[in-house]
Amino acid sequence: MTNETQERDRNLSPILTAGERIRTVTGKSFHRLVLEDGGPVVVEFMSYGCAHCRMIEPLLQKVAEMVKGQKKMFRVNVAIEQELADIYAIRGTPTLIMFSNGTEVGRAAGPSPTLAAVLSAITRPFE
Amino acid sequence: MTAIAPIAAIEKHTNPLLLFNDECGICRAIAHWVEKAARLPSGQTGIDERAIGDDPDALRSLNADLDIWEAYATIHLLMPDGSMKLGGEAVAEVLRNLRSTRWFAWTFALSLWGFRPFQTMLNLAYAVLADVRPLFGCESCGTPSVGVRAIRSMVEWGNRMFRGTLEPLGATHSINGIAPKGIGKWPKVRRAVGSWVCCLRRRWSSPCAQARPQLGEHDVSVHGKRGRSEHLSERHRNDDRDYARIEELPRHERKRRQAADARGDEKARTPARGHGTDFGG
Repeated sequence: MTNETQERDRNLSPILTAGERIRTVTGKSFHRLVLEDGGPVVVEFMSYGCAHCRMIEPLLQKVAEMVKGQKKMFRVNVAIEQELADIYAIRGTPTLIMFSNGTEVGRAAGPSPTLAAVLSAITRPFE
Repeated sequence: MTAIAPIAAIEKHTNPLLLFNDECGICRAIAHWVEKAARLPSGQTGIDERAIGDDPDALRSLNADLDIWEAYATIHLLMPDGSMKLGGEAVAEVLRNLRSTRWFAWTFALSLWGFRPFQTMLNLAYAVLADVRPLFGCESCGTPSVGVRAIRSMVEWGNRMFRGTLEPLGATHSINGIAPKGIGKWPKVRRAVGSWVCCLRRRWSSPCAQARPQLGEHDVSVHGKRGRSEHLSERHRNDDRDYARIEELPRHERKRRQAADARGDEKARTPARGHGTDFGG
């Protein structure tokens, strides 16, 4: 595989760091991974400097483990992907947007930092 | 296909590296002070600094164990030998590396039967500072702890008293300088706390103190991502201008201006310092 091909794959693939179940998508890969996906997809718009995101991060990891195989979960760093934040009118972080067949079916801004609240916010729009 | 982010090669550094939260006003001010204090006469520096930023991989290239969430939660000092110091320990190490504070920083290592009293006090002081950071306009510093949450009750009480001027803390971090309805209430809390801090700085007799009743009239969007100091300085300029308008000029100044007007001398008409109305920007 050439360096060019490797670079292209890296840009288009979600970035998954060790120990994480939520993958980071970029503006380049968002369309392919989120909008073109037929199944339920949850996208968290967040930033690392956001205390509320830090608070719900372990809960989101748990929820991602619980819904593994049923829903895909991604994260978008709004500090880098400002264009995506504008497109989806993100006014604050964390904001969870639920997509089904590429269409937004629900969103939750600043869910309570409890497992039940986060799980409910993520699953309810798909029911 | 899922790409597993490779751990980049570890960057070597010869000085201790201080990671600071660049979204927090207090952290920025402390980092700036450390930067100045660490500067050696030779032009070199005893401590390097770096903002935490938004790239977890870039942080892991500094130390494989460094987690970006933890970096934002507490102060990190990366040592040249690859170890990390956190919280009060990091503060003590920074003080040990500064010429101006080295003379007392040795006390933090003082141990009495395995107990380090001064280090314990420093840890406590750091914990308190970290807790009150959110009240000084830091959206990324976390929720105030139990001791500081009493302020929240005061804010809610103030909300009832002042008919919604103050509002309780929200559950999201506002971005793009906009505080949406129902979430992201930090700017309003910041305004309330900021006015209090401002008055302490300028003393109660200053224009700032007299202008306090007007503080609730600012638009929230003005406060968003702009630095509080920038906002306050602008407010002071406005206040100064307002007070200058109602200030009566002393007789000698009035005479000087009348004479200048008679001569048509625009330059001489320019107000003397402290008595003008054209404060500009």
